[in-house]
Amino acid sequence: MVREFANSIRAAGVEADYREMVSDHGHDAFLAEQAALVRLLQ
Amino acid sequence: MAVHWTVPRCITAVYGRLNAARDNAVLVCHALSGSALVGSWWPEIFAPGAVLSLEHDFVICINLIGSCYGSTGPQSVDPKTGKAYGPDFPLVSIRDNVRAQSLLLDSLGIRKLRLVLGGSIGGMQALDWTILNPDRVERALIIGVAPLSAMGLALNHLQRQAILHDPDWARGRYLPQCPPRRGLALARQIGMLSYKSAPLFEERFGRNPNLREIEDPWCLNDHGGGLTGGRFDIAGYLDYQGERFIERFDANAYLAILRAMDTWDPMRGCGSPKEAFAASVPA
Repeated sequence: MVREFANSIRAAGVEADYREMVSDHGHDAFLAEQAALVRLLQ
Repeated sequence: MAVHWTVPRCITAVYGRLNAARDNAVLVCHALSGSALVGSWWPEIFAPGAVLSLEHDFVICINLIGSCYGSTGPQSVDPKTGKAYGPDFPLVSIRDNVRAQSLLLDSLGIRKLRLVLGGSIGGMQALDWTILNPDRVERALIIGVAPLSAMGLALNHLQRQAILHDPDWARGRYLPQCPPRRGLALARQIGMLSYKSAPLFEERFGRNPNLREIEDPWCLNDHGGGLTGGRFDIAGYLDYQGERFIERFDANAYLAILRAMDTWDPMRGCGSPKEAFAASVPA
């Protein structure tokens, strides 16, 4: 869902970069695995 | 025609210092059960070399309207009636929140954000910022966001139903000392199913019995088994999460934000994604 949504935004011409992290924490990973999130965002 | 103006209160936390050029502002948007205190729920984005720097950035986080952490919400007094809004609190969409946030930044003299970021509902706000105010955002970090899927809407429906079926619900006019605790706790537990993942549950809990309170899922009737037996570990964990949550959240506020989440869809009413995001496309 999230990937498709990001692709549709990019296809619309928005300057956007899509990155993905793999985590067993699922949706909560942005709070539960903050160190991994920070690495992804750098 | 009588027009009632009610100015919402938006509780705001700030970290760092706004520079003279006023061009170092960062807006962090919080998720469903978060508060303006981003330093307490997202500390690692402030780590040295991470995403934000207290030395260089002026970090702002604004509590969602509808929340129970200080901004105007269902627990606030409706000036028209002199009583709490309760279930009469209106739908305040993600977009409405972004409009309120941009007015608040106006009042601080901040024209442009160096960065706007958030995860989940926070990411919905961040994305709406780029659509509504593309000229006021240099960069956005939007984490874990898409309009809710049918499954997401289904789980939110069940959460809502759990609250509405609590015997203490009182159509949302419950007394502060008698809130629909069981319904809100159950709603939180249903929510946990979508926040976490099946592999995580498997790894952490598997088919273990609940050892927090020494329960036996296999116990027989004459040993207190009854129709349900003792809980498995995952059940004990979910119950515990529900119990913790009701200590810190209000049921009407939960419903208000669930609705903002359900209804968020930047593509709604647009013929195509191109139309929806036209404002964000560089000229």
